[in-house]
Amino acid sequence: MESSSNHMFYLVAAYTLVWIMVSAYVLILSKRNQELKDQVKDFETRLRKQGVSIED
Amino acid sequence: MSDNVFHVFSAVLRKDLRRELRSREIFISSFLFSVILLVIIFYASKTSGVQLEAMSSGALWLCILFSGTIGLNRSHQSETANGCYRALILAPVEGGWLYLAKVCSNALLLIVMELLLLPLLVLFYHTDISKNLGMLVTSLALGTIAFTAVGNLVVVITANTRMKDVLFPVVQLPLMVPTLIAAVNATELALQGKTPSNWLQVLVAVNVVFLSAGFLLYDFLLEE
Amino acid sequence: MSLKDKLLFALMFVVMQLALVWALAIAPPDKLQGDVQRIFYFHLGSIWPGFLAFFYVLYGSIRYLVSRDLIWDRKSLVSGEIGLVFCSIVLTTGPVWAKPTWGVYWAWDARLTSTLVLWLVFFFYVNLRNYIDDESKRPRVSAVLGIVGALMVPFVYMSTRIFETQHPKPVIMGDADSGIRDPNMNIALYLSLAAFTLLYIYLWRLGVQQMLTKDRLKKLRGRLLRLEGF
Repeated sequence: MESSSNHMFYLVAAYTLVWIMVSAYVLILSKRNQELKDQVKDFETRLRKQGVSIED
Repeated sequence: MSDNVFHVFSAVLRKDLRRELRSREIFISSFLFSVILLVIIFYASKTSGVQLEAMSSGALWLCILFSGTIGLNRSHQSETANGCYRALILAPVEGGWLYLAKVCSNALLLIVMELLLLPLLVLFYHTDISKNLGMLVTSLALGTIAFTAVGNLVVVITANTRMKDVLFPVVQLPLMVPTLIAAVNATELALQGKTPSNWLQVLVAVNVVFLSAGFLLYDFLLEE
Repeated sequence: MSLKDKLLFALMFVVMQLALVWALAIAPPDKLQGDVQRIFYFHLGSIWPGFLAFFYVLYGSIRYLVSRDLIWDRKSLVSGEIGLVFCSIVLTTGPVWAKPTWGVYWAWDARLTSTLVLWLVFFFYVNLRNYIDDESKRPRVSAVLGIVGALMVPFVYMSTRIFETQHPKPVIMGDADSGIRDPNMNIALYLSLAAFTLLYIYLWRLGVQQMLTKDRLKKLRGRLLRLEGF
C-alpha cells in the first residue's frame, strides 16, 4: 500500500476525468447548437432578400 | 412457400460451393494465409516461452478469424461484382433464407479448411488432437457457425460504406470477441480431453440469437 | 428549453450534489483500500446508464425498422452517443482506480476487456453512418448494426462471468461478501446511480431536441432553395 496522500491523487484524477468526459459531450452539443444558430441566421437573411417578412 | 424456400436455399448453397470448387480462389488463399499465420504466431511468441501445445487452440482460432474474414469479404465481393445481389433480391423468398444459405456455404468452406489445418497443428505445434475428437469438432463447428452468422451480417452492413474493405474487419472483430473467448476455451478444453459444456452453451446461445437476428434483419439490409 | 427540462436539470443538479457529498465525505473510507475506493461510486454509477443507453439503442433501432419513423433513429443515435460518453468514463476511471489497488493501470481482466469491446462496438454504431454516402440508407444500416451490437452485450457479459476474474465481484448481483457493508456506502452508490441516470435522461432529451431541430432546418432549407428559384 502506498501512502494515503498518493491515493488522494488518484481519487482527484478519477473525479476530474468524469467531468472532463461529460464536459466534452456538452461542448460537442453546444458546438452543434452554434451550427444550427448560424444556419437560422443565414436563412433569415436569405428570406429577407426574398422580401419575406420574418417578424411575427 | 416451403418448396420455394428449399429451392432458393439449395440453389444459393450449390452456386457458392460450385463456384468455390471451380476457382478455389477463396479456399487456397485463406488456407495458405492460415499456414503462414501458424508460422508467424510461432515466431512471434517463441521468446515468451509459452509451450507449443498450450498455444495451439489460440493459434488455430486466430487463423480461422483472420482467414475467415478474408474469405467472407471475398465471397461478398464476388456477389456484388457480378450483380448477384440484385438477382438475390428478386428471389421469391424472404431474405432470411438467403442469409442462412450464405452462412451455410461460408461455414462449410471454413470447416473444411479447419479440418485441413488440424494435421498441420499436429505437425507444427505437436498438438494431440485425439483426446476428445468429438468435442473438438463440435467446438470448431459451433464456433465457426457463430463466426459466419455474425460475419455475414457485418459484411453486408459495411458494404454500404465508403471504406468497406477497411471497415469490415474493424467493425467485425470487436463483435467477435465473445465468440472468440468461448471458442478458444472450448477448443482448449477439448484438446485436453475434457467436455467444455459451459463454453459450448455460450456458443449455442450465440448461434441461436444471431442466426435468428440475421434471419429477421437480412431483408432490411438487402433493400435498395 | 421547456419547463420539464428545467425541472429535470434542477433535480439532476441536486441529486448530483448529494451524490458527491455522500461519495466523498459521508460514506466511510474502505477498510482495505482507504479513500481511493470512493472512485467506485462514480465508476459504477456511470456503467449503469451506459448499459441502459445501449439497451435503448436496441429498442430504438427495432422501433425504427418497424415504423421507419426517423425520430427513432435520432433517439437511438443520441442514446448511443451518451452511452459512449459514460463508457469512456468507466474506461478512464477504472484504470485510475486500478493503479493504486492492483498496482497496474490495466489488467487483462475479462470485465475490463468487455467494457472496451462495448466501447468499440458503440463507437462504430455512432460513427458508421458518417461513412455511408446514401442518406436514405444511413438510418437503416445503423439500426441493424445497433441491434447486432446490443445483442452482443449480454454475451460479452456472459463470457466474462465464466472467465476467471480478478475484478471485484459485481456488487448488486454478486455474492453476499462482495464489499459493501456500511449503509452510507449504499446510499452513496444509489445516489450516484440516480444522478448519472438523470444526467443521461437530461442529456438525451437535449440531444434529441437538437437532432429534430436540425432535421426541421434541413427541410426549411429545401423550401428556401425553391423560393430562391433553384
